[in-house]
Amino acid sequence: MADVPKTTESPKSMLLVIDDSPDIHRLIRARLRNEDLDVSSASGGAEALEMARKSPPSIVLLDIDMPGMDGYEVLRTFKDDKALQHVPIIMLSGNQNAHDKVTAFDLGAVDYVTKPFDFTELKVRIRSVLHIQQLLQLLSQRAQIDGLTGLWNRAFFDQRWKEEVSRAARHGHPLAVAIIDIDHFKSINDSFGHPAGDAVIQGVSRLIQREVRASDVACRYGGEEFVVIMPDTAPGDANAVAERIRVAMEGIAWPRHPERKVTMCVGVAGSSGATQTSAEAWLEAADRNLYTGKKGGRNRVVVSDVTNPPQVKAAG
Amino acid sequence: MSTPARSSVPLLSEFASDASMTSLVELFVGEMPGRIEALRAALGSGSLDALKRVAHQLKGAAGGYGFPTIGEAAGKVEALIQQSPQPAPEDKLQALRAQVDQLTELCARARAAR
Repeated sequence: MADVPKTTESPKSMLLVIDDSPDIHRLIRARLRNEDLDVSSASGGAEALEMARKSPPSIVLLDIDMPGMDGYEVLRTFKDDKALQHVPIIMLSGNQNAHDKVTAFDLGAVDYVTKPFDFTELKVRIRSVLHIQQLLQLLSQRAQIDGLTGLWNRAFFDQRWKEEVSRAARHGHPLAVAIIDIDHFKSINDSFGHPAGDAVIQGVSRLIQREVRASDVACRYGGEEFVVIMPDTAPGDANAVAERIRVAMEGIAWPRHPERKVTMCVGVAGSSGATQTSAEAWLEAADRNLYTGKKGGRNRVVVSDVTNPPQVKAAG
Repeated sequence: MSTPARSSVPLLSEFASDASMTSLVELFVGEMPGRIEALRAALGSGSLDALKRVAHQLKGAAGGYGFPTIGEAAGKVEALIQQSPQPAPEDKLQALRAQVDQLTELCARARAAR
């Protein structure tokens, strides 16, 4: 199975308690024993930030009144840190006054609980925050999934492709990308209607998912175009994957138009090792190969090698 | 004559019959002598910041261990320090001493279980 969007699993949530009183740490640990949570605790802001940066918690309980760095300062630091700014933070305070609560929410806290706690209340508040957090994650993942096909969408591809190119450049690993375009797609829409066109797009995406390898990342680029990122894959191997997809496509019988076969062209650009080629230039190379395939009569794969090692200064 | 037996009347945790809390409350109660000592030392040396810190922590935690009266008494100590001008005038200090006495007396009576 290829790298396609997964439904969110829920591993154990990690809760970080930040409070200068060890009595509070022990109390919270004991009272949340039966919740599905991994509880860890820190006595101050500096310690907490170090822990959170090592492994970001799912939720934080943060005391306001602490010596040294107070809760507001810790809250600000979390919100200024790109890796931590989405961690939901519930403020803990001995203070009931509205001004403190408003300040906490203004700084980005999601909730505010006063001491001494009612633990039944604290539990339901934690559950509710975790639930909302899970929905937010789902929503942001949805924004990366193509609605028609369930593949990753263009926005996800753009981001991931940049990351893969820079990773490959850093380690000198092979990498390839394939752009797939359905031949004469417009005429399918025109002859058989848009539902038939949609069915072809869905069929092609299922076929791509089936034929690529587990490490490949399959995305819908837009319209009748798809892209597959193939990490650690030299041009020759990428060609074999693309060829397999093209051949499988020829063999499909389409229920809505059995008399009409559908084919595709694939433009592949790959590097067998270290390369200085930029993400944009690399993708353009694949796109040019796709165009060459179209001009050459369609139903074909065209591959090029973009290996372009950085110049090494001669020693001495 | 002036030493009433009151301090020997145990102040039982509200969770005395909650077996899942017993060891936790015992730990909290076991640390009471240290807290009483810290409160007295801070008051004796006039370090109101240290006194406020111990009182603040007790205010937040004691209720959770089943001792709401200790939490309230600690809250009063904290409030007195917050409301007092610095340095504290004698009348404020007297009120503070009385409140700390009341707090330490409650702390000394705290018991996890019968």
